[in-house]
Amino acid sequence: MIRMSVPNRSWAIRRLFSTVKIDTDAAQRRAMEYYRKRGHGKKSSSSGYTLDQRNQQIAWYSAAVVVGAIAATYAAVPMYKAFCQATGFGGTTQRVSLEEWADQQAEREQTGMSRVFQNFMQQLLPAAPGPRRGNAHTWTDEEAAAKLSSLKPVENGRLITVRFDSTVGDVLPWDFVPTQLDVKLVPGETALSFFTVTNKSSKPITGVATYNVYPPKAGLYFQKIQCFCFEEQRLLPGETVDMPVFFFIDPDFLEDSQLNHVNNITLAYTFFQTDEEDDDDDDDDEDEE
Amino acid sequence: MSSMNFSSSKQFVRPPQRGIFPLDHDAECKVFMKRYLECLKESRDVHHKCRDLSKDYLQCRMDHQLMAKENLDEMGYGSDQKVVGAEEYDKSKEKAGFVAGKHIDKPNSWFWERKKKDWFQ
Repeated sequence: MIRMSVPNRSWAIRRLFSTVKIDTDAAQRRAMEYYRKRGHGKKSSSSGYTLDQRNQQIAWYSAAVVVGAIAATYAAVPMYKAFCQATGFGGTTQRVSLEEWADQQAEREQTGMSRVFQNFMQQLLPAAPGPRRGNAHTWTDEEAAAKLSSLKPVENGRLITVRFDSTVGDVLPWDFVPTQLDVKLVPGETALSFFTVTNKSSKPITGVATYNVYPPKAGLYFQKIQCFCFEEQRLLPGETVDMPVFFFIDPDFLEDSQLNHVNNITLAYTFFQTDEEDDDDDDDDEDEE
Repeated sequence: MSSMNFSSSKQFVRPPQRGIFPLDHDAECKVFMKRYLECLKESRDVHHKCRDLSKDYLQCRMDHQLMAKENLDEMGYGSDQKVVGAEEYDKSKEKAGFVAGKHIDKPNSWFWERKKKDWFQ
């Protein structure tokens, strides 16, 4: 610690601030006494660590925070995906076969669990196809169909407007429009809607469609029976085709308190190009029966 | 709108039980589709008024082998699945607010559906 001789210092200060009448001598003496009693800072008063050790601790803590942040960055990707699947955030729709839909419906009714919780549990423990829920009873096609036939339009339900939106990928020279701007239907009612696609180029082009539902929470309730998405569709040059979508809104939509004020759902389709070669193998399901 | 989704949330691609509609390349059922769409326009896009015409369209698809044959009564077209008590007019204007010039009482049509000379009107 630099020790200045007391008389010099006070003399210099007195010269500089000759009008100030503080006794700098006495003040400095008091300060020196205080620090001497406190122990000059070489010994820390807290827990006996030296300065070196405390610095090391801080360095380790900082390194741990950095490593933790990097680990969180990696963990975020699958966690976010699981979160979106479970809650339908960002408009992910629930694409299930009717069997699975019937199963989920039954499970919800029996156990009273919420839809989001059920999705979350499915993420954690993916249900294996086979005997379900302890009773060795498998849903057959007829039973799933019976579930659909028991789907009733909600009585005195409010009309939900389903708007259609269409986008075409940048490279794809297709005209893709919905034939009707919107359809008003009641939850539980099955409805049909159309999109018209025209191939404006001079080559056969294959495209595939994906879709999204807004508001995102409504994606949980928007069920499609049959559509044209997720399958490659091949159009000859100059061809125009009408593509239908057969869908319904789950009646539980009306019981969701967060969707009380939602009367407009937007179904947005986007077409992307997959292949331009006309002699590539055709993935169409045109002979499906 | 898929491009706006920042999550990598491609959902499980489980095909729906009824599968994918095959493309109607020869426009065999276009007549039924046109009838259905005209009915929708007349009824201001309320679906349950045009339920029978949509049933006709699906029936046409089945007849021309563009759709797996099944009983349409079980796909939401049964007589006990009629829409009961739905509002004749969804109070969308009252709920969303009246906007001048919107929903004028004439059939909605996209601008390319009008004749070419009408485009710039």
